[in-house]
Amino acid sequence: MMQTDEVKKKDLTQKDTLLEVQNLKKYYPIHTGFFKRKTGDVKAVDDISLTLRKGETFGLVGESGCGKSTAGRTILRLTDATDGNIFFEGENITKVSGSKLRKARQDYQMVFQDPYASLNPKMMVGHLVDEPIRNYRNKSHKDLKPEVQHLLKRVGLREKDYYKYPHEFSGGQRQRIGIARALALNPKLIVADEPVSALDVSIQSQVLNLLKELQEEFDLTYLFIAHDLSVVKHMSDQIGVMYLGKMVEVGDNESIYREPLHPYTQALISAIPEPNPLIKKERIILKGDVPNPQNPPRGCVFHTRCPMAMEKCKEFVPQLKEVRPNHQVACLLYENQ
Amino acid sequence: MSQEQQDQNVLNIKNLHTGFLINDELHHAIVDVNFNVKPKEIVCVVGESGCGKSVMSLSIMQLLPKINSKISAGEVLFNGENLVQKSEKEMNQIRGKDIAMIFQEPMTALNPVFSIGWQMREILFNHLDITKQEANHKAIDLLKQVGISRPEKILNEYPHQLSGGMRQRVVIAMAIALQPKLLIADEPTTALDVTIQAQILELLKDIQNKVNMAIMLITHDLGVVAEMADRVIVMYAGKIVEEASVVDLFTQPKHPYTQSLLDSIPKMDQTTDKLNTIDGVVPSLESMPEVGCRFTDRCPKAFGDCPLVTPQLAKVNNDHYARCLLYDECYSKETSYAKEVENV
Repeated sequence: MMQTDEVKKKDLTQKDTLLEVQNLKKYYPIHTGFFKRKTGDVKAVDDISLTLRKGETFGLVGESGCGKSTAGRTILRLTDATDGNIFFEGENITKVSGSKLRKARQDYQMVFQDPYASLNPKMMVGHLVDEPIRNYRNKSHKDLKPEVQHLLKRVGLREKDYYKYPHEFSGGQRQRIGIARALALNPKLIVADEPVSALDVSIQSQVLNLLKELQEEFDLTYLFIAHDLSVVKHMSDQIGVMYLGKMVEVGDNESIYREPLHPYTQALISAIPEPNPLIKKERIILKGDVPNPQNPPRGCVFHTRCPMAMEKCKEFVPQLKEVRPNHQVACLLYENQ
Repeated sequence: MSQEQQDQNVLNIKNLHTGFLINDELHHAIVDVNFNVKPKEIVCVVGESGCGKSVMSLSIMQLLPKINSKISAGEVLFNGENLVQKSEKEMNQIRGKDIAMIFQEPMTALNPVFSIGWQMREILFNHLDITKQEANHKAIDLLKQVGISRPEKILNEYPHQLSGGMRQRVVIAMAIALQPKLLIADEPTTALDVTIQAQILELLKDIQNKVNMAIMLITHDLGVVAEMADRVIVMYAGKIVEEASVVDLFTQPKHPYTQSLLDSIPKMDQTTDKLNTIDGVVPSLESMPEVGCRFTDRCPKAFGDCPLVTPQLAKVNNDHYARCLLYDECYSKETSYAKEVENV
């Protein structure tokens, strides 16, 4: 037993790595016909790898349906991975279950997209925030009240908000409650799944600033999932771009925005409407929609919409390759470099 | 503005007030809105949620529920006719034919139990005297115009079989079916991905050029505004706080609200550690201050007069209107925009 544990522990080359995901896969089976036989898989997350360093933010971007949320949920073990390994502080948590998983979960928390749906409307804010703590420590609401009120203040709410209910708050304030809940257990990693996409721009900037402040104060590491590239750019140190379950480009924030290599990333960046009427940028307009993930194209999954598709793209599946320092891309255009 | 010019406008909105009944009391969601839309122009209306953008578009279309809402004052002049005084029957003739509307959620705008073809024919039958076959031909034509590659097949499909972008294309095809003079698009791309958004915006511009209609685009995305607009109207808490051409608005915003709004979006070409924020939230309908500027509580430049004096929308520059006491013009009623429109 001791030995297998030893084997499971991975010797990390970089000491400050908090989370390492290796070849993570999450397939959902498709059952059809009268006997509901398995006829295929939806490859929601197909072989992605990423490394999160302590105190940094990894931004995961992509269009809806590309698997970025599934990736986040699988990493947190909210759904079980089909294949691959997740190392949290060197510990393999992919197969951990029961009380061990429960214990491990204290260290990673989640902030959800929809602040209207993620809070129980029948619970007082104070009880919502102390719920995670009470889950792990045998304490009463009363014991935890000072701690919770301090936390509420820290995320920009007032002490007396302890007694209110979620419906009394605006979207931005609700997201603050969601953040307070995630912070309650002093986690090391927070997965934020589209935390600002339901908010107005002025409120969005408040929440983004708060997340940045908290990161510094509590030495948090974020996996920041969003579809808005300008937000991801603002928040992240590293960025991963996903398309149809695959990671097509990973690299440093600066490197990706200055010099996007994958045609999809290029199109994605050029599609963002610039808030400046004087800039008329050359826009790459992608044809068509994201293909059906039940029946993804052969070869490179992007070739059906790619403006630079070549004949060989239909045949070969490109692998992630380091083309520039700290900048990997999965595209056949860079095969020979 | 001369009378003649006014007649040429597709839409003139004068002194519009729309309110909702809450506990038997009328609370105004829109106060004193004045603006016009010229032919072939794209006017964008921006503001945070709760600013009254959608209420305004619904007021124009007379689509607000009569039971709990009321247009208490003002006129909506479309081609010189006041829509507020039209009966439901008359409005039905105008909606879809002269003024068309695109909604935010393409899934809910289409009926899930009827085929696309049925829904497209319905619009055509309502306004034109044609046979089913002619209607089908016209529908196929329209679907081609909005860039759908296999229109014959789509006609027999149902909304759930289409992706979000495709649904929005179908909705646009229905909206332009009768070549309306004005298209009101209420957040048409908010529910879509960026690459699809780029497609749809391109399509809207393209179609606008082809059929010569004016577009009133309601959005909260300043990027979309910069992309599309000729003229921009910024709304805050039910009032227009700034109106200017798109270049003026982005290069020299006058109202502190517009300035803060522009500063609070993360920019692609620059890195900042901290984003500008606007503290607080839009006041709710019941808690709207009676006098003074409605932005006072959140304004970084607020001073003594702000909670006391209600500012007027006034000309602060060439074709640039603002509602803020930082500009002396906004104190006096004489130069206010509302008067100017009224007098000529």
